[in-house]
Amino acid sequence: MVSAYRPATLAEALALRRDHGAVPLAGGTDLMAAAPRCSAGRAPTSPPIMFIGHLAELRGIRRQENQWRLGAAVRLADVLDNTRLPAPLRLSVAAMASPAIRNMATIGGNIANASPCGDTLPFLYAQGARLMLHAAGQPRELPIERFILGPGQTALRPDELLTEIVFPAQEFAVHRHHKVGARAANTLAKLSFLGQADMDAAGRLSDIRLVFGSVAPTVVRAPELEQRLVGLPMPELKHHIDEISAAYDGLIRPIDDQRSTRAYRKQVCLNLLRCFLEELNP
Amino acid sequence: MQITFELNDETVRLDVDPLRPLLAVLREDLGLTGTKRGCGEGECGACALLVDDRLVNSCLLPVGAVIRCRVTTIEGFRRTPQYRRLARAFTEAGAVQCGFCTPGMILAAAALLRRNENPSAEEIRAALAGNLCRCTGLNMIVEAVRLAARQGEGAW
Amino acid sequence: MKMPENTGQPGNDIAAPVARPDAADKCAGEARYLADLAVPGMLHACTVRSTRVRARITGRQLPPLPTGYFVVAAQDVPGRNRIRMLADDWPFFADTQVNHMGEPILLIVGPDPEEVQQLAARVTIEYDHQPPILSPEEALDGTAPPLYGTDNCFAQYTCHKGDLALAERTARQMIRDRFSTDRQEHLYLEPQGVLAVPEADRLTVYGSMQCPFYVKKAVEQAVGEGRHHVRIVQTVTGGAFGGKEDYPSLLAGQAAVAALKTGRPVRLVLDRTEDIAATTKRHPARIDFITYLDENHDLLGMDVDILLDGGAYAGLSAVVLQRAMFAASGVYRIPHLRVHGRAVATNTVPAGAFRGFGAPQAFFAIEMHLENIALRLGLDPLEYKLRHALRQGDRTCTDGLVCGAVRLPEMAARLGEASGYSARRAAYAAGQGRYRRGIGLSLCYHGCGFTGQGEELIQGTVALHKRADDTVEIRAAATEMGQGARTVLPKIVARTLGIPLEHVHCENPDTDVVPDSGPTVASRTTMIVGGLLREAALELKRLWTPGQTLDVRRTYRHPPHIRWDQEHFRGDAYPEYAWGANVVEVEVDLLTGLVRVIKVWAEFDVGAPMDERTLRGQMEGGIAQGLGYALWEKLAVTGGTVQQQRIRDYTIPTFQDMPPVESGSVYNPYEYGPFGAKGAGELTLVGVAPAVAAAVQQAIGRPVAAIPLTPEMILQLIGDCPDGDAAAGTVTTRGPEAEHRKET
Repeated sequence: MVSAYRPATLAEALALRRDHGAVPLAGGTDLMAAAPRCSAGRAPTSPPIMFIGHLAELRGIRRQENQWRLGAAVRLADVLDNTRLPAPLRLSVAAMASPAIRNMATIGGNIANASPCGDTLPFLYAQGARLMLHAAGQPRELPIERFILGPGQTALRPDELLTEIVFPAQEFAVHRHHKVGARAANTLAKLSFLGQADMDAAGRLSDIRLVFGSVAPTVVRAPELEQRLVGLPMPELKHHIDEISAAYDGLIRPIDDQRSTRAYRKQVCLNLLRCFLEELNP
Repeated sequence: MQITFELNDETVRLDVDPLRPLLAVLREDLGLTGTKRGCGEGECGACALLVDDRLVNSCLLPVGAVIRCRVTTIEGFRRTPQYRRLARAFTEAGAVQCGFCTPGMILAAAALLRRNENPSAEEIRAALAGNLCRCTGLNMIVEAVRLAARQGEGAW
Repeated sequence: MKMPENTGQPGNDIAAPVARPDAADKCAGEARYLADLAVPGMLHACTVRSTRVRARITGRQLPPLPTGYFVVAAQDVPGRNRIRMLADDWPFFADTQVNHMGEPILLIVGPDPEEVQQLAARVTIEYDHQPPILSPEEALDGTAPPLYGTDNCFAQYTCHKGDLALAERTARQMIRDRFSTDRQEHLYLEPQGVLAVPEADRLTVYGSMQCPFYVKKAVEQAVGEGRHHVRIVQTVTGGAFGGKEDYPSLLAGQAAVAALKTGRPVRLVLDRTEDIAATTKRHPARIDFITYLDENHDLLGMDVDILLDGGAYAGLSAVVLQRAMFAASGVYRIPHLRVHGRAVATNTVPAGAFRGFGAPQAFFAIEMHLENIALRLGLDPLEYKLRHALRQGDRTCTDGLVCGAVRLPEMAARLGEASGYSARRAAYAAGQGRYRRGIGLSLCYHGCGFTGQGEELIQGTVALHKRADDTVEIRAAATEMGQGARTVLPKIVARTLGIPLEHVHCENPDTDVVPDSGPTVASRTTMIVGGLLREAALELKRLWTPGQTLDVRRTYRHPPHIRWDQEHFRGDAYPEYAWGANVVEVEVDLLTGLVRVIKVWAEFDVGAPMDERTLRGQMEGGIAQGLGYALWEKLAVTGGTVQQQRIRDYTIPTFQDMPPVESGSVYNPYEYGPFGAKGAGELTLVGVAPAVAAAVQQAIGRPVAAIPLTPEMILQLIGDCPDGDAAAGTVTTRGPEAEHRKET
C-alpha cells in the first residue's frame, strides 16, 4: 500500500491524481501541522499523498504583458524576495508566519488550504486573481472568489491540480495593508485589511479595492460597494464614509474564538476602513 | 520509499515513509539529537535546520521533500569556521541560557549571515522572528548575531 | 542618558563575566536534554487524560493490548497514589474522580511510540458528570459541592500590623480599588519529561526538573517507602521558571510506577499541547484594597483582600498566597495594615509556582493602587510613592525590620533621568491623534530565600569534595535551568579558595551524590546555597592540603537577627530583600488597541552581581516575561477548558515584539550573602506589569484594573468609559474640610 508518490513531471502528477486520487503536498506545512501525532492516524484507506513541490512546471514567477503568473508551488519566501512583485503582496507575505515556514510554504498551498486567515488571500481577492486548474488534458480557470467556497473548502475537482495563479500587474498609487495579530510576528491574523486606490488626473477616484481577511468564512470584498466610490471627486469621499462603513458592517461577520472577539474584529476592521478612506483625502 | 539525500556532507540512503517528519528521522532513526523538538507544530523554531542553505522547520518537513537536497544540522554546521564564530559570539554576548533554542537559533543566524553579512538589528529580528526563546529576553541574541557579523568579516 | 551598568561598585571583580561552562555543549547541540536520552529496552508512555471538568469515573474501556504494551493506572501504584506536597490531595493517577480537564488518568506504555499513541486514542473513559466549580467566586458561594475540605479553601490567612480600626476611625479619606490578574504559562522551550530506569532494588529517574529531592520524596511515596532505593538525576533542563518545581514529581511518580510494573525503562515526554493544557500555571488573583489616608494624604491604613484561584489541587497555593500577602502593601510604609488572603479550589488546571510566586500579582495591584491614589489627589505618582517608600530601620508589613539600606530613591532618580520620565509624563498627559504615548514607573521588592521559617525547615546542606588533583567538586541540589547556577556557584567557590575557575566542577545534581541544599526556587540559589558554599569553601581553604582528598559539609543556619512567628505571620518574613524599579514607555494605537512597547528601563538592587552577563540575562529574561504577563500572554479558561492550548495561540514575545531594554544594578552588598549577593531570579519580572499598565493607563486616559492588557480589552476600555477619568477606584472623603462626597 503506497502512502506517497513523487512524480517527476506535472503530467505524471495529474495522472496520479486521476488514477489514485493522490492528495498534493507542496510545502506541506498545513498538511503536516494538521496530521495526527502519529501516522497511524492516517488510515490504510486514506488516499496517498504526492509530492509536487519540486516540480519545475509549478515554480515559475513570470510577468506576461500586464499579468503576473505564479506557479502554485512557488515558495512564499521567493515571492517576498522578488522585488518586482507588487508591494501589497510582498507585505502580506512578510507578515506571514516565519522565515522558516515561508521557505517551505507555497502560494498554491495557502490558497488551496482555504483558511479564512490565509495571508495571501486578501491581495489575490483585491486583484481579482484567476486560478488555473488542470486535470489530465483539461485545463480550466476560476476566479479566486469562486474557487474558495468556505473554510477548508474549494471547488477543486478530484482529478484537478491548482497549477498557476494569475493576476493583473496593476499597481495602485495608494495601498495600505494591516494584519492585526496577537504579537508582531509569527502569528495568525485576528483580522486583516487591504486598501488600494488610484486617482485620475482630474482628481477623481478612478479605482479602489477594499478587502478584509479573517473576519468571515471567506475573504470579504464587495466590488459593488467599491463602485459606489469610483468616479467621486476626492474631497467628496468623506461624505460617503458612514454609508460605506455601514454597508461593510453587514458583510463582516467575525466570530469569538481563542484569538479574539467578534466585537473587536469588527470594530477594528471598520476603524481601519474609515482611516483608509479619510487618509485618501486628508 | 527509498529516500536519498545529503546530510552534513554525507550521502544518506533510507527506506522510510516519505511522510515521516525529517525531525523524527534525524532524532529517532539516525540518533542525531542536536535538533530539538519544542512543539512539533512549526511554531517555535527549535527544530530549525538548513535545507539547501535555507532555514526550515524540520518538524513539519516530510523526509520525502528533501530527496536530493543538502540537509545541514547542527552536527554538521558545528564543524565549520562560521559555527565557531557564532558559538563564540553567542557565548560572549550571553545569548545562551537553557540552550534548548540555541542550535536552531544558531542555524537561523547562519542562514541570515549567508544572505546578508552585515545585517541591521531590524533585519536580525525579522530573520529570527520564527525562533522563540523564553530565557534571554531576545535582545542579547540580537547582539550576539551583530557580534558574529562584525567578528566574522568576510567569513560568510 | 544611558544608565551605568553597575553603580557604585568598587572593583568587585567577581562580577566580571566568564564564559558559561555549559555554553559550548548547548551551542553544538551536544547537551543532552531528557528527550535526547534513550536506553536499551526503553518503553514510551502516552497519557490518557480526562475530557471532563469534574466527574466520577464509572468505567474504562481499553483496546486489546499487544504483547509488550501495558496500561498503568492508579491500581498499579505500590505505595500511595498521592504526590507528596504540602497537602496530600493530588493523585499521580486519577482513580475514581477527575477534577480538571486534562487530568491524567492512565498511561499506555510500549516499545513503539506511534503504536502507544494509537492505543491511547482508543481508550474510552466513562464519566458521571458533576457540577463543576469554575471560578473562585463559585468556589466561595457554596452552590456546588466543595472540591477541597468543606469550604474549598486550600489556605486562608489573616495578618495584622498596628490597629486598622484606629486608621478607619481617624482617616480623612478612604479609597477602594480592585485589581485582577490572570493565568500565565511558563512555555519553557523544552517540554516536560522524565525517564524511569528500574534495576534490581533500585530505581533511577532522570528528568527535566528544578528540585531533585522533591521528586525523590514523591517517587518514594509512589513506590512505597523503603522498598527501593530511589535515585533522581537532573538532566540538562531547557527552561523551567517554576513550572518544573512541582509538576515533575507527578510525572516521575507515574513513570516510576510504570517502570516497576513493566520491569523496563519508561520515558514520558509531554507533547506541547498537553503541557500547556494540563501542567501548572500562574495563579489568577483578585486583589481588593480599602486604603485610609490621613489629613496630609499620607497612607495611614490599608485593608487588603487577596483571592487566588488555586485550580484543582492544593499544590503550592498556601505558600504562593503567603508571598502574595507579604507583598500586598508593596514597598510602602503603612502603620496599620490588615491582609486577608484565600487560595481556593476550582475545577481548572492546577496553579503552581511561576517566577515571582504571588509577588507579580500583588505588585501589579499595589503599584496601580498607589498610582491611582496619587492621580486622584492630583499628586505626582513617583513623588507620592517615594514619600512612602520603606527606608532602612523601618518596619515591614509583617513588622519585621528593614535591615539594609533601601536605595529606591536613587534608583528611581537614575531611571527618571535615563528615561526622561517626568518630562515625558507631562508631555503625554495631553495626547492627541491616533497614537497615544504613556510612561509608567513601578517600585518593587522580592524577598530572597524561602518565606518565613522555610530555610530553617529545609536545613539545606551543601558539600565540597576536594580531589587528590586539587580540583574541587560542588555537591549541591541546585539545578542549572538556564539561569546560570553552574556559572555562579563555581565562581563563588573558586574565588573563595583562590583557585582557577576551571578547577571547580559543578555537575547536574544526582541525589546519590549530593546532599539536599533545597529546591532551586525562591531566589535562594545564589544567596542561600551560594552562601553555604562560600562558608564551606572557607573551611576547605583552612583545611586544604595539596594532593589529599577532603570533604566539607555545611548546613544552613538563619542569621541571628532574623525573627519570625509563623503562626501570626509576624517578624522577618525573608532573610533579605532585593529591590527593583522599572520604567516602561508605550505607544497605543487607538484604532486597533495594539500596544507598542517603546522602551524599558530597569534598575535592581541584588546586593552584588556575581556575574554581570548572567545577571543581565536574568534582568532581560524576567522583563520579557513581565511584558508578556502584562500584554501578550492571554490564557483564558472557559468552562474549565484552557482556550489557548496550541503554542500558536499562546503568544510569548518574539524578536519583533521586544523593545530595547536598558538595565543596570546598584551595588548594595548584603552582609550575609556570598560576596554581598542577594537573589535576582524573580525580582526582574515582578515590577514590569504595573509599569506597563500605568503607561497604558496614561496613554488611553482610562483606568486599567486588569491584565493582560489585550487590544480587545483596551478597545473596550476606550469604548465603555467616559473620557478623561484615568484613575480607577472609588474615593470617599469625610470630614468638615470636604465640600462634597466624590465617588466614581
